[in-house]
Amino acid sequence: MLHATWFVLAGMGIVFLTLGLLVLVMSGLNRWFGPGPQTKQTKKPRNA
Amino acid sequence: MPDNEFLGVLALTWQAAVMLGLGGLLIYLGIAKQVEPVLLVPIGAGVILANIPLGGLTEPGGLLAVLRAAGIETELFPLLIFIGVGAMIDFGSLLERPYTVFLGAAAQFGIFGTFFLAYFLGDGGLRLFDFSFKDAVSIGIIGSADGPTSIYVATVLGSKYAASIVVAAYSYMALVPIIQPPIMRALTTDAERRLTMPARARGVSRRTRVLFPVVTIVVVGLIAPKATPLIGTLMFGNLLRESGVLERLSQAAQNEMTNIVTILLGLTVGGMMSAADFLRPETIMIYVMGVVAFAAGTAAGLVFGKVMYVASGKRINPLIGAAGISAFPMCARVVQKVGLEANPHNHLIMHAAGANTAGQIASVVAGGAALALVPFFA
Repeated sequence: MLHATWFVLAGMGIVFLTLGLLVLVMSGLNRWFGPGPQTKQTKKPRNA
Repeated sequence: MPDNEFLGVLALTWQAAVMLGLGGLLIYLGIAKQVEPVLLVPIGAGVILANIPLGGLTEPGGLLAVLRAAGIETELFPLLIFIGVGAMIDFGSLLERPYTVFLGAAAQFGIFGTFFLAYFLGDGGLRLFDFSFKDAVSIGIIGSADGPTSIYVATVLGSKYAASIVVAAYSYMALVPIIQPPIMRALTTDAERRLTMPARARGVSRRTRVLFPVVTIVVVGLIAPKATPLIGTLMFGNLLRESGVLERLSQAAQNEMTNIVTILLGLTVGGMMSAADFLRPETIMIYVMGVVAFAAGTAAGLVFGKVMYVASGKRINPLIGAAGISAFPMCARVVQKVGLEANPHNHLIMHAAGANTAGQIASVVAGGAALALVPFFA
């Protein structure tokens, strides 16, 4: 069962490594291509 | 021509009769109880067609044999389904909250934990069941809560239990609202479940949405190349959706293509359930393992959610960890429901959807990792 234990550890390791990289990628995409600053809504004149 | 080759009833064995009853049960569950009808009805019909004595549908040249050779043994059907799934999924919740990726990763322990147990009960330890290393990996993949990935991995590994594994994976997906809530309540405190999280996020630009599927294919493909067919088709479907210029293709992938392949896939999987392969103690154990897989994945996601709850200074509700298994969107809805039970103002759906879509990617990566590692360990 020792090699099964290593299989589990290696499998979870690959999953966390890959998805950890994906977090970096997503953070990078959000930072570089994130939505621009919200345009401030202008107040409507009261009598409009 | 002898009578028993002309009249099917004379060739009917009790095993085939049981399978005909099972096919009828699946159709009943699908239609009367509405348990995953899209799959269980075609699967049930396939079981009946395959087990009619002398019908010949599973013999060389028969319809079900041709479909199996063309769509399952080539892994074509699950990959086509994945294009449709990718076109249906909105990764916006995940992109707004990248940290939820780790909840999806943690929940994949359901796969590897169940593999360990199955292998221990089989060739690796007690030898109570005829589970080889590859069979145990295929059984563990039920924990991905992801039908196409289960079919793909079980087929590539050549497991003799592929049909049972697929049926178990799809059946348990419908049972997520029953399996998950007791585990969620057992592993979290009332104070944790009541914790509210902001429903609004910063938003995601269109450019990010378009780039995400392409970059994900490259990143996942380079780390876990065996996952490339799965992640490639999933993300290609998502690119159709997000490109903004392929609405017609995106709709075709989501509807026409997925519907046609689902019919063929269901029939073929049902056709793989012959009495000789299905009526054995291992099949029952595979169904038990399915519950273990879903429960272990849910528990692992919740435990990791609790770690994030502490690490974030009590700003992340650990319940969203339960959505890390990829049964989309059922898990996210279950999290929302349990959260609302604890606090009527607690709307966790967007956070849970992030973890849920992360689970979809993570299950594909886990499947690819398992395929890559098997040659080194089996």
